[in-house]
Order: sequence, then structure tokens, then C-alpha cells
Amino acid sequence: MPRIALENVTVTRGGKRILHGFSLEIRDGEYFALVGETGAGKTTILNLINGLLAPDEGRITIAGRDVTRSPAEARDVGMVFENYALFPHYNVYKNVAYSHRVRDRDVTETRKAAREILSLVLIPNRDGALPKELSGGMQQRVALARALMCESGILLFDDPFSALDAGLRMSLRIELKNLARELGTTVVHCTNDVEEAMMVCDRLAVIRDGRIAQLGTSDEVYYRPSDLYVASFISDVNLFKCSVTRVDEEQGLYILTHKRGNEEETREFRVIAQEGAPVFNEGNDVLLCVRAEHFYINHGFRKKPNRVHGVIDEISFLGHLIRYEVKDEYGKRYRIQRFVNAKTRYLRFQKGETVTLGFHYKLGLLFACPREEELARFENV
Amino acid sequence: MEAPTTDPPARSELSRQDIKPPRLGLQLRLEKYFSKDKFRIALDTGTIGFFLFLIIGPLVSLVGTVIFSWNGIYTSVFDDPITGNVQWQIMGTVLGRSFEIAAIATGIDLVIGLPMAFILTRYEFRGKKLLDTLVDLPMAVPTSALGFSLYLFWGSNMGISGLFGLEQGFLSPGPILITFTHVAFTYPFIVRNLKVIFQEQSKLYEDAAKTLGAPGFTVFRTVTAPLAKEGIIAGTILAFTRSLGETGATIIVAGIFETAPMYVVALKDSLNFPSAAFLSMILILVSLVALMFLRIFSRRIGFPVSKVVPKVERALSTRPVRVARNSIGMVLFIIIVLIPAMYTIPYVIEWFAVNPFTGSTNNTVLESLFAPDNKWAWLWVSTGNSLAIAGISTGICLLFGLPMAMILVKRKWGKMKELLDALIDVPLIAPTAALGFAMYLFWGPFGLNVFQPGFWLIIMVHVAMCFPYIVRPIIAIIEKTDPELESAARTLGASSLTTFRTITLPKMKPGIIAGMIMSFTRSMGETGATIVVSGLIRTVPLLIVDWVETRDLAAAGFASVLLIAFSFIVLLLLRKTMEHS
Repeated sequence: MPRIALENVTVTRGGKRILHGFSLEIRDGEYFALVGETGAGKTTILNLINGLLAPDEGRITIAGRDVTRSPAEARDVGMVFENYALFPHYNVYKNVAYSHRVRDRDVTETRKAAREILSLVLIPNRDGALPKELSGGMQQRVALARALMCESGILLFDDPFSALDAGLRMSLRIELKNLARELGTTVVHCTNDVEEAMMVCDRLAVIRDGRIAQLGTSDEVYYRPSDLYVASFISDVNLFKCSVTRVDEEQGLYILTHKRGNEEETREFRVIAQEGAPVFNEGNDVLLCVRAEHFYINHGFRKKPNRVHGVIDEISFLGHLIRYEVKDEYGKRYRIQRFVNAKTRYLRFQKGETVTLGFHYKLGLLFACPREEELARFENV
Repeated sequence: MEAPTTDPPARSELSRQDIKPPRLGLQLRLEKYFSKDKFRIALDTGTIGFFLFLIIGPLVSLVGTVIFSWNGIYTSVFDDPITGNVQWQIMGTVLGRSFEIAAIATGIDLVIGLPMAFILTRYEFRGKKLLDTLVDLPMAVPTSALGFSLYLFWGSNMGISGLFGLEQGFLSPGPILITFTHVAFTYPFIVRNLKVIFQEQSKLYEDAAKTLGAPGFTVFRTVTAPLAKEGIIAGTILAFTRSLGETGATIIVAGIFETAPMYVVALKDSLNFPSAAFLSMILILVSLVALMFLRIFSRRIGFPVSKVVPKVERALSTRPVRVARNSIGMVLFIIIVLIPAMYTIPYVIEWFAVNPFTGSTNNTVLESLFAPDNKWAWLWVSTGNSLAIAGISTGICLLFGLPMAMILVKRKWGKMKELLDALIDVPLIAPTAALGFAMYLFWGPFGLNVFQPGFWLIIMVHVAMCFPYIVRPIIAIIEKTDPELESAARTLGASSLTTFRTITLPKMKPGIIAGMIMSFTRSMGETGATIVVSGLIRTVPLLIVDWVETRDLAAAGFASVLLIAFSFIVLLLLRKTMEHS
């Protein structure tokens, strides 16, 4: 039985439809991430689960119990808010004990529970401190402790790391995931950072305009994106509008031709489509999508299938990564991203140098050719 | 061959331009010149000097009078050869009565105002804007017109008692009617204050408390109220002092009873200056103590939050209780504040040409206005006076208020500035009659002998009275404005005055307009201090007081409506100009 289920939920605010016929099931003990752009409806989904928002239509169940109309205070779902929302007039202990105090729980028991949870989230003994006296990371832990005091075993995170600096963010992600697993808590974690979502989650949903664009594990979403949006949301992509010249049914291999309007030259690509991709026939228009990190780069000019050529236009060195921008003779730009390792450390390219880019035939992603408006978001298709 | 000959002059022209420093327009050059430090210091000094003369001078002269004529005060207040200490006993009575009324009125306002402020900030519904305007409406009604309106509604047989067919008014003029009047008078102040506080407070904390399992009432008691504590205390003290010092409306509804500010007026009228000074000083001291309390202690007071009683609080959070609370708040507002405050308008319409009961023309608005004693002419002369006084004092306030606001935000003078900041609020809370009397002592024949009671002394009093209303909103806006904007303008080469004109001033515009609206309406309706310093000049509020005293109710009603109408038109005009620019 799913722990949390939203069934056909519709939410309208100020005449604008935020969610429409939205359904989602979250399993017991699962670490679930909701990822999407700002305004996609992530926080709305959280507020439906914790009861701050009632849907116009649809049903919400928690552990099989219909809670659609029950108010937030009756649901006992812990939530860590984006800016923590620690009560500024209460000290750490009073903040953490709040949920027990408003239910008039036994004082000694409350103290015991609070102590336990505070030590669990590694807060040194600072019960008397006010939130403003704590560092950002500490405030985050107090907010977490306060949410953990809820006894439903469900935790919601609304972009919990957005206010922290990069190093702290990284270590807290792992800590959070381990803690949730240890306690068997069901977690719904909202973020607009794909990397963060992929790092912490068991499963994730990419939300776009109030709909689920894709739902799956990190691996699935990365290697088998359901559409161009998901593919491009996760990392930089290079797109080629192609037509299918031949299909090798036996190997599942597509042979594609790419030619842009004014170009004389055609390029040939051979690709095995990702799992779950639609089946294409000869003569179909398709969109080939190659992730920036799936291109490799070499000196010189070699004409072969799955290769493109150009001149290096821009190099950015990021330490662990090098990014190149390559421009071909027709002005089309390619983005390439390579990890810096023992091999690539010395494989340096100069600006203006002619290079060949290639990709492995199993790493090309194939999509049905989308409408022009959709493609307009990308340059040089 | 022509090309080489035309080229060189063009180039040299270009280089000449490069060498010359860029010529600034006259305005920019003037601004640059006056941006020098010495002018800034001169402006600061001028502003503070003006302020000291305006506020501190009168207060000092008041205390001086009390000290220097202490023997006289002692004789007349405590040890009169004939009446003994009767004077002191009367002062005790009026002070006690004033405190009692202020406390009760503020208490009632808090109880009926809290749900209203909460409705206006936390709920979305149709007609919310209208309700918001209606709540502010009594603030636009000048105090003596408000008093008259309440007298008509509660105190005369033309008001609510008429509905029940009674011969007499429901409440006769006296302490109870004064309390009702003060409730209506301070209500908008309390609600407006609370509203701002609730608006500024993020809803996030309330949401967090809800997800942690607190029902609505508990959320309010443990989160909303404690966080709004300072604001609630500030609003309460402000309303309390306003009620304590209210004179204009009180005079009309007091009947034979007197409150402390009224007694100041009476003492001054009977030329008993030492006693008047003594009582004024007591009133101002009380206000100052309240102000200090507000500034120093409001942050430290704890809120009564101890144990949570879930059963009771859960019951209080249920929907029926909530709906009942909101509707009671709404109904009380309409019955106690809105209708009584606006009652003059239907009254004047009803009594305009004929007596609605007998059909005769006796005591109607027209008859009373065009009676042989020239009421009609008086009305227009005093309207002119009111408008001129309000306009001029608002202008002067703006002239000195702008630099004052800048000083209070920008200069880093430590304790000195804090003191200055506190002093700005003195006219806001000091009883108007006492302040008016202090200014009379300072400027008038017994002090500097600069102004005689009359037009210009009224303006001086109104300037002092309106000063905080102009300065406060401007300060609020400057504090909210990003200081980096000004820094950016400076790095782009603007002198400090140019920065002020092009960046700071446009940002401050809404604050300035809000301040002007407040100041203008305040001046239009001011009665308490004006009575003390008016001499033979009449403003419309004074006219209303006069006419109520001579029982020309219809004429007083018409003057009230006229005053409300003028205030409204000015408000609308100001708002329109704000929208256009």
C-alpha cells in the first residue's frame, strides 16, 4: 500500500490552474524527490500532503486514510520549510518541543523525545539559544529536529538546502539520506537542483507545469528520459534533427542522416535508441540528442559516422570539469563537457584548433521530432 | 585629394572636445555646488534648530512656567484662601476620569479590533477592499464632526432612540457617551496598526505551527500574537494616549462632565494660566512616560504563554466559533463605529429643508444656516481658514520633514539621534490641548510674544502636530529602500543632491504623499489645540463646537458634512496625483 497517494488532484489559484488531474503515489519508507523549475507546482504538492492547501478536486490518502479534508494540524506531517520558519521568539528546545506541547503531551516524555531527536541530528547542547543566534547549518538541523518530532513518519522538505553554502549542502545531503533510511521515514524532498535530487532520492519525479514529466529512479531518468524536456532539464544537450535512412531490425540500430537547410554536407549517425523510446520507421523525422558529457573530443579532422567537426571557440576550466564550445563551419555550436582525469589532464586543446567530436552509439537519445515551438528553446538544432 | 583636407579638422575638433571638461547644465551645477559639506551641515542645523523651537521650546517654557510660578500654582491649586484644595481635587477627578475612559475605550477597541485586523490580513473575500476603506473612514472624519455624529446617534432623540420611538437619546452626554466616542475615534488607529503588523509578519510561521499540529487558536496565541507583541503594545499605547488627549469630540459629547484636556481649555479660558500649565505638564509627562515605556520596555515584556489547554483551544478553533467571532467583530464595528461615525450624513439629508416629523421648516439645515446671525458667511470664511491652515502647515511640515527624515535615517549620531527620534513622536501622543497651551505660552504674549492667538499661532501648533505624520512614513520608506541604489548613483558620478533628486526622491514619493494626506486631514480636523490658540479666528471644527454649544444642531451637522466632504475631496485629489505621477 502506498504511504501517500494523490489521486486526480486539481488545484486552481487565482484563475490559474496549478495542478490538473495530478496523481502520485509514494511508497512506504521511500526517499522521494520532486524536481522541477520554480513555479512548476512542487511546493503546492507538498502543501497538499501536509494539509496547508485543500485541493479543488481529487483525493489525498495517507497510509490508506482519506485526509483530503482534514486540516494541517490533524495530519501530523513534519515539514522543513525553505527558510526553516523557526519561531524566532522560541529557543531551540521550545521550537523542537512545540508539536508535543500543543498536543499537551507529558512534559517528561516530551523532554526525552526532544533530547533523543536533538542528539540524532547532532545538535550540541544549545537548547536555550534563539534561532537567530545559530548558524545557517545549525538552524537547518533544528528545523529538521522539529519536523522529526511529528509521529506520522512522514517528512517533507521544501528546498531545504537553498540557503546553505555549497560545502555544507553536500555533506548534509548524505546525512539526511542516511538519517531517513535509519529511521525508516518516508521523505518527500522538493528541489530545483537535479543533481541534489538524483543524489538523495530512491525515486524522483520531474515536474513540469503541474504535471509529472517523468517518474523513476535517477538511473532511469538519466538514461531513459521520457522526452526532450526531461533530457535537457538534467544536463546540457546537443540536438540534431535527422531523418531515418535505414533501420537494422536485428541489432535495433538506426541509421540517421542529419542535414541542415543550407548545408551541402550530410552527416551520418548510427544509434541504438534508449529503452522505452518509440519505434521509428524509414523516412521518419527524429530528434537525436547527445548529452554534453557524452561527447568525446580529439585532435584533427576525421570523417566517420557519429562524428562532427569544428573549431574550438571557448574553453572553461572548472577543475574537475572542462567545458568546450565548438563551432562548425556552418555556425552550429556544440557543447562538450569532459571530466578531468589522469588521461584528459594532459589532453589539452587550444582555442581555434580543429577538433573531431564523437559519441558512443549506445549513448544517443532518440525522440520523435517535437513541434517547432518546443525546439525554439534550443539554438542550432 | 579632398579627403585628406577635410579629415584633420574633424579629428582636432574631436580632441578639443576630449580636453574640455564636460559642461553640466545649470541644475546639475547648482546641485553639485550645494552638495558641499558646509551646506549639508547648514541644512542639518537649520532643520534641528527648527525642530527644537517647534517642540522643545514650548515644552521647556511649560516646565519653566510651572517652576517660576510655583507659588501661584500652590496657592490656586492646593491652598486657595477660599476654596482650599478644591482645584486639586477637581484635577484629580478629571484626570481619573480621563484615564478610566481611555483605558476602557482602548480595551474595547483591542477586543473588537483584533478580529477585524485578522480578517483584513489573513482572509481573502469579495468586498475586502471596501471593508478596508470603511475601517479607515472614521479617521477621515474630523474629531469634532465625529463627536457631533456620535452625539446625534446615541445622545439625541434623532438617532438610534428614534428607532425605538423614545423621546430622549439613548445615552445622555457624559462619561459613557465619551467612552463610546473614544472607541469610534481610536478604532481605526488600532486596526490600522494591527493590520500593518500582521501584514508584515510572514504567514510562514503560522503554516509551520499548523503542520506541527497546532489548531488555529493555539497558532494565534503561541505564534502570531507573541511575534506581533511589540506592535500590539505600540498600537495600544498610541490609542490610549490619543484617547487621553482627545478634546474636539469630547467637548461635544461631554455634557456637564469634564475630562483633563477639557479642563486645560477651561482653565486657560478663565485665565488661570498657572493651573493650566500645571495640568498640561502632568498630561504631557504621562504621555512621555508612556512613550518611554513603549521604546524601552515593549521588547522585554513576555506574553502570557504558559501551558496549552488542547481541549479548550481546539474547541475555540472550530469553524462555528471562528465564524461567530468574525461576524461579531464585524457587527460590532458596524454598530459601534461605522454607523455612529457617519450618522451626520443621513441626518443632514433628512433635516435639510423640512422637519421630517412635523413638516415645518423650524430647525432645519436651511433655516438655521440662513438665520440672521450670518452662519452661512461664517461657514465659508472658516472653511477658507481651515483649508489655508491645513495647506500651509502641511507645506511647512514637508519642507522641514524631508531633511529631518533624512537626518534620522542617514546620520550616524548615536544616542543623540535616538533622542531626536523619540522626540519626533511627542506631538503624536501628547494631549493636543496641553500641547496647544504649551505653544501658546511659548510663542504668545507671555513668552516670546511673536504670535498672538490667531491664524499664525494655529499654523505653528498644527505644524508641530502634523510633523510626525509627515516624517514617519518617509522614514519607513527610506529604511526599506536599498541603500545600494544611492551608492550606485554616486559611483556613476551624481552629486549627493543630484542623487537625492533623481533616486531618493522618486522612491520616497508614496511615503511623502501618504504623509501629506495624514497631515492634511489631521490639520483639517484638529480641535483640541486649536481651541486654545484660536483667538477670534474660527476653523470649521471650532465652528461645530460653537454651534453645538448654542444647540444649532442642523447647522453643526451641515458643517460636519462639509468638513468630511472637503477632507475626502482632498484625499481623492492627492491619491489621483499619486497615481498619475
